[in-house]
Amino acid sequence: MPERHREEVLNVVLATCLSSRGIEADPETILRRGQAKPDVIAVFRGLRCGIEGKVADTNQPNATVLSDARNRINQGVVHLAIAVVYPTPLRSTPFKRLQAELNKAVLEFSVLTDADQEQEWHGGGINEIVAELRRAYDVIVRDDVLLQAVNTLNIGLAEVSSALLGHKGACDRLIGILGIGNKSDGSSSI
Amino acid sequence: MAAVPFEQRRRETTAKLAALMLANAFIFQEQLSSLDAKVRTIHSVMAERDFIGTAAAHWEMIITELNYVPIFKVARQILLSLPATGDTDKSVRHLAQRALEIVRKKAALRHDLMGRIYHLLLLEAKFLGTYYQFCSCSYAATQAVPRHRSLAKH
Repeated sequence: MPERHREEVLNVVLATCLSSRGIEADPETILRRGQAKPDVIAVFRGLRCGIEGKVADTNQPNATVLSDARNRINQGVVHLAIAVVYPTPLRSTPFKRLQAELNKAVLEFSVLTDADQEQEWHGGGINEIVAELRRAYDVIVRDDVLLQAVNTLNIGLAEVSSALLGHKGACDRLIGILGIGNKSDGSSSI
Repeated sequence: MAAVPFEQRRRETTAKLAALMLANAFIFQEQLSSLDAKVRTIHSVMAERDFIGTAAAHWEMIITELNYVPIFKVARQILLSLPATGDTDKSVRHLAQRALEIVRKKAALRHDLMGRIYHLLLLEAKFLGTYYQFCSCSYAATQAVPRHRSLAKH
């Protein structure tokens, strides 16, 4: 009877393939959360990278892995995640040939980060996944998420503070509430 | 260039800090609303005609029934101190809208956002003497205090 691999097996082998591409991507941890399936988490340049995979013969594999990968990021379990759909033949490939076959396979994948709201699917091999991981890493280290958030709030904060500044009485009341400075301390360095 | 008078600087700082604390409370309220049915969403509060009054009353409910006093007590006092003008109401509504946008980008909330914004926008830590403390540092401090007290007994 031919072997039938679970997705976690393919995920671990994928992490091993990534590792063999000269990047720091060791399949570091397998976390088990109650009845849920374990997460395979690799470390990529110091960032935790989750690998969520489904074989193409399952029901709606793309939507499922994308949702699982997004959840891992939203839960804060990982910084970035790879959602991957494996070709059906890989499920029954003998384990000793699995890494070699995965290295040659064309996979459907998407790399997700904190910053990306829209997910793009790509087709390609391990090298293409590595290239996408590097792009995602660059996005994260630019700290775009925080900058966008600051820009979003900045306008709102400026609007409220300028509305308040027109009302001396309100500002003085707030000085009392927030306990900012000492009114007699006019010589203080500001 | 002439220095900005002390009182003016103090008012500017106060206004910015008050706005930041309101934003923090709005963000927190929206997050809580997904965990506790008693907490209304920002959208539902914004649908009210008296937005500021409704938000203040709702934050009072959160304080008395749920806690989160450090966030909502001061924020409520700020709301109640705002002048009753169209400009203020409109600006606070816009701020709440911005807070919603932040909540939608869940990732942003994991970056110790308020602390970073505090430093990026206010730049007044020196004046206020209130340097922002990272959550991890605060936690470490709370763990250290009981040990210190137990040592003091000996």
